[in-house]
Amino acid sequence: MLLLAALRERSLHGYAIIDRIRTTSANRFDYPEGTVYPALHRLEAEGLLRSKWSDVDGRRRRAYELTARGRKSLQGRESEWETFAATIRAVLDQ
Amino acid sequence: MPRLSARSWINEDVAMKRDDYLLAVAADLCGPHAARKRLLVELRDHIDDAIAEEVSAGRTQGDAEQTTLARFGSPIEIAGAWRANLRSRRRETRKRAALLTLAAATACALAVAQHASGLRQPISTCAKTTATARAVAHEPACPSPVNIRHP
Repeated sequence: MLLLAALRERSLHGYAIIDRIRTTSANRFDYPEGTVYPALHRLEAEGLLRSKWSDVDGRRRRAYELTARGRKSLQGRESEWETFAATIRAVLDQ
Repeated sequence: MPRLSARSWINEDVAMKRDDYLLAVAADLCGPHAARKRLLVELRDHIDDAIAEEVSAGRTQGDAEQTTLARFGSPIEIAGAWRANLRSRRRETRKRAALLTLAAATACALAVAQHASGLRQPISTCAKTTATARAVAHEPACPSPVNIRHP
């Protein structure tokens, strides 16, 4: 879900995706950077992402973006997560 | 909230270079050649970007390389994640093959029944369809490692 969310606004290459997750989570999510690529390839094989080579500051990089299916999947996962978080909150607040 | 951090897997006494690292990952990868090659190119580009960033922040080239590779995760972790993908994809392929085989068998049975009742001539599509199912089910063995020096 975090990978899909990182790509919500625009396409990014792997390095930028990791950087975005790290920054937006205030460094709390700091995964081994290399493992993001097998995950990106899996999401692409599932049809949730698509990728293409693009030019970033004169360097050729593989940029990933959400497909329509990926966007829908992200919305579904977010909704599930919000329900889950709200339920936990309700239990804790009792 | 706990920090979910990359483990430092590199033994500080052993300096690992980018190419050694990529070779170690490549040696443990399986699956289609083009996909493995693309993964290795992406890893190489990411490492190069990260090293450049560390150098521009004031580290020496050697330190930058070590810091970057430590953050990157061990080759075993990356290859393990890759293999897990592959296993999952193969399970999907087997499911598709099973469905195709079932469809082919049903089509063949119907064709035989129609032929037996004199409604139509025997067809060759049975063989073609079952061949397609066999092709989908075919899983290539782990090929030889990718040459990452000239990806």
